[in-house]
Amino acid sequence: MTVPSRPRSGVDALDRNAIVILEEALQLLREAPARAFFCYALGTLPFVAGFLWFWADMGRGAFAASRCLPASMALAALFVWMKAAQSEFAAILHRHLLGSTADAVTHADRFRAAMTHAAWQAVGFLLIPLAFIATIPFCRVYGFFQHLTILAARERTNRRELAAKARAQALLWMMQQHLMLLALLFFSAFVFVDIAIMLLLIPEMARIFLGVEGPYAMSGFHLFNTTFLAACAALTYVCVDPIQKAAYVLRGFYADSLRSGADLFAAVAARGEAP
Amino acid sequence: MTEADAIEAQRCFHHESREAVGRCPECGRTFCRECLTEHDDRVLCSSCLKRLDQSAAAAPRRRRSLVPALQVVAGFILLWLSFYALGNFLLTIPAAVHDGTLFTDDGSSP
Repeated sequence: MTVPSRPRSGVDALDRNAIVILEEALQLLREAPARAFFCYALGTLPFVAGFLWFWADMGRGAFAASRCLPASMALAALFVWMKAAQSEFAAILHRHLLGSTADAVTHADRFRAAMTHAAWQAVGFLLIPLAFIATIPFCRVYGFFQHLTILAARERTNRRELAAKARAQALLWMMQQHLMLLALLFFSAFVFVDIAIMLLLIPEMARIFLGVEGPYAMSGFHLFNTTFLAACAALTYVCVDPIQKAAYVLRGFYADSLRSGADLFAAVAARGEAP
Repeated sequence: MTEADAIEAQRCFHHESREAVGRCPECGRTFCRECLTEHDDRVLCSSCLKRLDQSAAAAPRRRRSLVPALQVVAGFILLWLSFYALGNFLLTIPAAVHDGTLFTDDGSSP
């Protein structure tokens, strides 16, 4: 057993390196039950499909202007649905961290999470871009909305207390959060490029190896097509967001552990189960 | 006979076989140890406590339930308007930009 080089106590004791958090997040996703991913996909894929349809229709549709209002309302509903499903995904991951096999989320929790996101996420649409432009508060604002998503289906309190807890967790370990988001940004850029290359090459490979030439392959090179770029961005989001959510679940878990010692209980429980 | 002796001689209003240990200041009846509870630095019986709770919560409860609902409605409308603004922005972008043919001479894909 290794001995730490210096004694750490209080908040610092659970301040992990950003790369360690991301590695633990990947490990958490590997160990997570399939129900978690099913829940995530059930919420995220409809919104992604709806968003891409919306983007393509508003960009090319002949009567898109008449459809903009109802389509944007449907997209808003799908967005709330997606955030509620992501909250349930985070709750299942949190339950797995605690070593509990009980059902994570009830219908009342889902409804409460959906109402929380309907009330709060629109504010995020305004604040996050402003915080990005201002740069310095971006991590705090972004972290607040991520922690809000993580806690929405798990905490059975009113919205004010939920927001206060999300804010407190977002303000913990800022350097860790900065580095974590920076690492995820670089990773996302690589994933985006990989997906773009894959989407460009697959029709060509199908034509070469299978002799299949559909309209997409015949239409030529579409790197500058906005719908193509939006599709790449959407697929990148679907690939990277689970890792980000798992990392924020871990941040929330360690933040709770400062008072409850949940990480110690989980470690003892894990040792009890090991042969 | 002192007041304490008088109370001791009395019985609980709910449990006749038990001796009373105190008097509720709201209803004036005597009760045993289990029927009295401390609330706001006073010892009250369960019936008066329940009545006080209901009357305290009745008026503001209706107001509290409206504000969260209004927050949800306002938030959803704001979300809807955000996507509507995005849609309008996409509508204003020329088709050549969406197609990726902006930088080609004949409008074909690069």
